[in-house]
Amino acid sequence: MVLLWNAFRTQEQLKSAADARLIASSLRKATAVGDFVAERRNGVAELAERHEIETYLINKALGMSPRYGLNANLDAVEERFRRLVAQKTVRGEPIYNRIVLFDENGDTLIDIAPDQPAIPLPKGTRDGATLRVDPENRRIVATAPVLYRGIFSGTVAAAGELEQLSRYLISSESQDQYREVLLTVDGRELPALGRKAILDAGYTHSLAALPQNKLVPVDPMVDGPGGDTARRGTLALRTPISGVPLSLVTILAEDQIYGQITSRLFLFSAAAFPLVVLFAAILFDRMRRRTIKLQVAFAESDRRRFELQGRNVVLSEEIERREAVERELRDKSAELEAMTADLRASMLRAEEASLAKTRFLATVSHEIRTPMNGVLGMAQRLLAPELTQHERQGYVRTILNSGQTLLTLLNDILDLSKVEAGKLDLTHSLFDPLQILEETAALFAESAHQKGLRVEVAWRGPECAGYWGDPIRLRQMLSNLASNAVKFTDAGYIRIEGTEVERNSGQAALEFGVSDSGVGVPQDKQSMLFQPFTQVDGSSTRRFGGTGLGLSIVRSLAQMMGGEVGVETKDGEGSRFWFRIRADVMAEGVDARPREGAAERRNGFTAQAAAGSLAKAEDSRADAGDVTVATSRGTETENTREKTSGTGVRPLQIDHVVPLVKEIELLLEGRKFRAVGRFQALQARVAGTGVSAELEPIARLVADFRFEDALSGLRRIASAHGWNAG
Amino acid sequence: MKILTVISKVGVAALVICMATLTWAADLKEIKARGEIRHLGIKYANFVTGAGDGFDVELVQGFARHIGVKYRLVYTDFYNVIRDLLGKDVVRRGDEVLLEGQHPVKGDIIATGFTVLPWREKVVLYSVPTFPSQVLLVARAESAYTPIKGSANLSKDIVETKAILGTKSLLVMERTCLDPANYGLKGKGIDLKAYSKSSNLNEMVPALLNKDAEFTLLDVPDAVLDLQKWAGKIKVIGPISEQQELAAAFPKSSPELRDAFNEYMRRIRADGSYDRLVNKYYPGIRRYFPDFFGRKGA
Repeated sequence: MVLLWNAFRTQEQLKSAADARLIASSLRKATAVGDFVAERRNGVAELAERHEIETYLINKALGMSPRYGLNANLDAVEERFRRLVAQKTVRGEPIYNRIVLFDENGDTLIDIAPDQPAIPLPKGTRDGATLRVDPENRRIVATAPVLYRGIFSGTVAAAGELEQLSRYLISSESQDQYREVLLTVDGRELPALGRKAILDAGYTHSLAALPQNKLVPVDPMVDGPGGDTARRGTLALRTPISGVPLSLVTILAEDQIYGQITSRLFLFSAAAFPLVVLFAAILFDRMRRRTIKLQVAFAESDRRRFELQGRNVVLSEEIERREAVERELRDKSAELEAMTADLRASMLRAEEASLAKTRFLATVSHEIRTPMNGVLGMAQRLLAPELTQHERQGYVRTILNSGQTLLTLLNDILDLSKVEAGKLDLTHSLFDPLQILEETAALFAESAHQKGLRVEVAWRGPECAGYWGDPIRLRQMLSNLASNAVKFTDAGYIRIEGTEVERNSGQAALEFGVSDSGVGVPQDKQSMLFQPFTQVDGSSTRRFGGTGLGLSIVRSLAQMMGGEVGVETKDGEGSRFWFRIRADVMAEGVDARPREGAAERRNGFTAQAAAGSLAKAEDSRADAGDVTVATSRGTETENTREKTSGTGVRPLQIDHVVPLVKEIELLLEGRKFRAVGRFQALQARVAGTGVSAELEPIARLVADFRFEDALSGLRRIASAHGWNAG
Repeated sequence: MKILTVISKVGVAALVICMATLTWAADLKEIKARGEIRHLGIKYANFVTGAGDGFDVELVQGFARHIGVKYRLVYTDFYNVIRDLLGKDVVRRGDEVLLEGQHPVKGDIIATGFTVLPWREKVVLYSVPTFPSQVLLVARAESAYTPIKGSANLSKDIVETKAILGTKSLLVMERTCLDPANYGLKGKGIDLKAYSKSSNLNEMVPALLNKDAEFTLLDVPDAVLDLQKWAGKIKVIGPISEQQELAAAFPKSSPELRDAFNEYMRRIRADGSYDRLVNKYYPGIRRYFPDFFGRKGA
């Protein structure tokens, strides 16, 4: 409705504007016509005041006769009239075609066109300039009074073609829907020159009566082409022309001014479709409201979206921070878990270590207590009176063996401590693996013999092999394994063997192993092997003694030598403990004989008989009041296979013996118990030679700890064989 | 007296013969041969304005173009104009006109509102009339004398006018168209006051207004202008003379030149050029001489 109302208003405004434009146009034209005729009137008025006329009047007042003098003045006036006619033109046509000077009586003094119809001088011409229309003669006449010294002295009248008004100032051309005509006050049409009136008299009378300056509908009643068409919707506008009794009447078709869309048509349309308009208005209003709501909703949505986006950004940053914190927490948790696991493992290890140490202490205590009981018991026996020499020696030997056992135990503990502390240094000297195998076998020959075990030695490697390493520790490792083999084997054999399993760039991997036909190790106990202070049977009622440090020392030393340890065992079917080390291969041309002496090299399998054995205190419970000492003497085993020269006596390698003899001499001089073990080693080296029998008595002196006697005897033998020569 | 009369006639005849001998050569052929025509003009009314134009100036200029020669204006005055044309002084003794002396000829044609007078016709050749004229009696506006009413009888009007003049003082200019001898005013007891300050006829009205005399003579061409110029200051009492004609004057020895001029006049009166000249310089003259200006051609 608003739109329709606006459209209606617009149409009305356009209509008003068109009306105003048309009225303004008509006013302009009427004004132009008025100005045109006013110019005529003013021109005549000015002409009446020209000095030529005034001169005439002056001279006339002086009494000059028209014949002599005034004629000249009148001629000047006439000439002025003619010049005015020539000057006042429009589009080349004079606006005056006749100018007349009348005297005060109305007699003609000058008439430049006397052949034209006379110009009457109606009343009122003396009062001032006038302009009147003479439709009969198609002329417009302007008059102006001539005054001389304020006295009416004549009249100037100028006539022009009336058609000029229509010809030049209005659209006099006949058109179908637009006409402009000049009408007199009495309703007579003033057609242009050469044209006839197009409106009938009755119609022009009605047009002349129209209200001025107002566009009103009229009945056309137009003659001529288009008249029928113009009868529908014809408007007329009458505009009076100022200063002249004429009106400019514009007749035009309504369509021409308002176009095809008129307010009337609009009203008809609006009347025909009011419901549609109302519905459209309501619909438009709803759509507008909905649009407004949607715009508000969109604005709110946008606002929320922007707010959410802002929040999301904050949340995203918060999430990122939290994720970073969580990651850090997870990392910390992982670290804590790892630390916890480490701590737990450490704790377990600590607990295990603590338990092992507890067991170790129990074991060590037991292992210490046993020899100590032996020492103390034997020492108590020695206080008894009336002891025989043999009993006394026996008691002392027991004390000596117990002390040796304690010393060995302490040495093992010390070695393990050094290894774990990293303070154990390995030597780097040349050694013969076969020699070490043989020495180890000799060391346990006696104990094996006592248990009826067969001892075998084997080296599977290059002949005259020599390697750089620590032979003392290697021997210790083999001894520990052999000791266990003897300990846990009741029948069968003990095999001590070595193999060069790999050689590469002057370095070789050597594997040493001790096999037995003993009790073996249960599967569930195998993981306990090589752990310090652990034994397969750690109970207080165990069958086999020992500190449990031997295998641990073996493993530690093997690792220090770039190797490893292992066991192949089956419960009740024996075991094979082995270890591997890496050793530099001796260069060719170098004497591979070890400085501390080595067993004589043999091809293939070598049997070595133990030169003797040290009586070892049996595992016994030495109660305070019941002390039992069991001793044994090692002899050469029957099972020892040896290959000798053709004489049956193995030749003595002096170089292998002399250093050891000197070492033993020093030990004996210092009354060192190590002299017992080293002397056994000497016996092993000389076993099978002619010297072996000579050393037997001295061996007994050493075993009885009669170190001074043993020293004297040893020096005597050494001197006899020239071992002191060097 | 008779002897003297005879001697004078003989002398005049001899002078005429002598003048003719001296001036006959300035005819049309000579002028064309010279390529220039010399126009003798006098500052008078609107005939020769002194500003290089005027009715007669344009008239002769047109004539020069007509015969195909250059135009040159030579100023002179009413006292010397004939001498400059003929090379002789004009001496009037009664009805006799004598040409005396020897002077250089300065011009070939006189055209300057030159009135056709009988005595002049004795020494020069006139063309067809170029302009009408008449001598009027003019008084100051405040003069107590009333102009005549005028009638259809010019002679009666002249008598009436002269009656008003009586013996009162009258400004005249001898040897011009305002010479009182031309109109029988000498010897009548009129107080003639010859204006001798200059030979310019335009100064007659100012002299009248200066009260040099009670009346003055004024020819119509001048009067037409002065009645506009001095409107309310002067008034025309009545005619003194019959209607006169003005014309161009040539030496008697220049008939071909005069004939050529007459031919020229016929042509410009026929084609309207003459009327345009009249309207230009004397817009009020037609009504005064309707008969003259109604003629087309001479």
